[in-house]
Amino acid sequence: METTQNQRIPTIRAVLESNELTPADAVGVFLLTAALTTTSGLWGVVAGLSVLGVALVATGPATFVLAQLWAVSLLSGETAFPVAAAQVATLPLLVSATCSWPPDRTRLGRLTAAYVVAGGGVWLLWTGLRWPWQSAFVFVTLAAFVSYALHRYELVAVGAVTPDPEADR
Amino acid sequence: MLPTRRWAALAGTACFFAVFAVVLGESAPLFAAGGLTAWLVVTQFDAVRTITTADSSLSASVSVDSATAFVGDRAAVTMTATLSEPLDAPLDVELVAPPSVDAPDRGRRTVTLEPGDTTGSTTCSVTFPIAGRITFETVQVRIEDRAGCFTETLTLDADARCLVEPPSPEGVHVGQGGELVGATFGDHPSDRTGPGLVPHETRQYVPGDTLSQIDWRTTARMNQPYIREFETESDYLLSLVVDCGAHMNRGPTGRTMLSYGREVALGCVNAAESHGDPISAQIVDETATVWEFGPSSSSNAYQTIRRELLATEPKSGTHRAVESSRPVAPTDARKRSQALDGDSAFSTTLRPFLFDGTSYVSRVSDRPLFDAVKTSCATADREDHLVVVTDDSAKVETYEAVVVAAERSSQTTVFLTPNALFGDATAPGESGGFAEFEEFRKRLDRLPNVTAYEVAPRTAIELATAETAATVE
Repeated sequence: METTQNQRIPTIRAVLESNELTPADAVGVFLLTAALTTTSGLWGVVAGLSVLGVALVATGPATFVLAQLWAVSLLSGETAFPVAAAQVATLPLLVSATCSWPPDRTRLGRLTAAYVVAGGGVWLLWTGLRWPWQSAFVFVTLAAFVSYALHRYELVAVGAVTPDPEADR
Repeated sequence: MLPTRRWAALAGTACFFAVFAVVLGESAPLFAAGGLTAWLVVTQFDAVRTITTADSSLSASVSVDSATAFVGDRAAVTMTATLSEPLDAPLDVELVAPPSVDAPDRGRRTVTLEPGDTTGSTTCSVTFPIAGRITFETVQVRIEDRAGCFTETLTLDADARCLVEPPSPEGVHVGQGGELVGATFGDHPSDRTGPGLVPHETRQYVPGDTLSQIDWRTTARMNQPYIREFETESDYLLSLVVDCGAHMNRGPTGRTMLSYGREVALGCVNAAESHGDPISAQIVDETATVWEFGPSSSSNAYQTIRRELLATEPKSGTHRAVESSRPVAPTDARKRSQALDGDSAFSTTLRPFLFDGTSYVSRVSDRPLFDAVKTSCATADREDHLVVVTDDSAKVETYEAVVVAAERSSQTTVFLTPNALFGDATAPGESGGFAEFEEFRKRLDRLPNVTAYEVAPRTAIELATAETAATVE
């Protein structure tokens, strides 16, 4: 299917027909810069500027991924509060990349809820389990299970398979 | 639902963060992985909603512009996709062409419904290279979610059918006045006795008969000497003259007048082969004899003629002018001219035409069909059977050719394809043309040693005869 990025993802930038900074981008870059500057000083400003640059030229989740990379790089060894602040700061960047303008409340709420649940799950796993590999393994397993469940539901809903997996064999 | 490369890249990034968290022993990378995972799960959830909505709300209809077609024909296939509610993602609806159809590339068979669109349509032209019942039964829908992370392909049922028929005549009617003649060919008895194998009759012995002719069983039964006589087997030369002019191209593809005439001609060749009769053939068009063969009775001869008949196609050229007037021979014309009044304006104007016998003869003798018939009769130095396959568009030429054949040939059979029953003239209400044809056919049939048949589609003949009967009533 030959579709342009703008056709596929009607983001705020696509609606504005430009790659100018959107309000969500601005909020995200500001919060991220603030969170990282508080803990890492000048590197936080550098991180904020680079994220701002990517936000201006790119669409999709690239800005969010770069912000996460900066957060991981600069917040190693920090306490939970700066990490949580950085994660909250990156949420507007994700909203900017995925929601249309004006933002669909349902989609926005769904994304926020999933973001909170994922973060809460990570926190629970990290504090509840003894080893980091256990936390990572359980989290990835849970994510894969949810993804497979959705995939299976879709197949049943469109009539590609029957609800009973044994019957398909 | 299939993940795209974009999804794989993002999922890989999330896994990288998770592994990074394990390596560093820090929670920050795992939170990053959690954020990406949340986004991927929400994206997948949206994709599932989009796909299920499309599956329930999308309908597609396919139609073919003609329910029947012939091999090699083109047909327009129209596909219309309709959504009962608009989607937020684009989808491609592709008409899946059966393997037995030559269809254009995928782009011309696909209609794209952009987000917000509810209907779309596309028409493409397909060719049918083989015969059969062609069904466009599948429409394939490809959906990509708005984030470009998942794709899904759905199939919808369609029910567009087209009957593709081979380019050969169907329901060939060979008859007289609408009455079907079962077999125009068969054994040809000579009605003469002599050496042979087919018993003819028994009669009483008369002096002079040889002893070997005595039928001893009958003699014993009747108590008198009886003779059994056998019928002499004859050997006919079949002379075939087939008209393949452009005027014989009338009718739908594969069912032209020539197609029907060719079926009859092939039947004649088969009959000649089964009897071992020698055969000669001439194929003529508007201008000249384009092919001639024989006479010969070799096994290759029949095959050669068959092959040529099957390969013959009417040349696209100027159609022969239809002679609508009844043919009048020069002697008849002279008689009529004598009946004209002396010096009236009508008589003065008309008399030169009726006396102009020379132009009449030259007009006919120059025509290839007449010439071919004359040549066929000239080469026959024994009992022959002349078969002429043509139509009724040039009545004068055909009539005069058959007159010559009747005079010179032992037996003449004329197969005529009525122009009125091919092409547009087969529509109801055109039976007048068939009545005129039938009048011409009867005129030919009244000639000595001539049998004239009509060759046409059976359904068209039935319709025409029914309308003619209704008109008479």
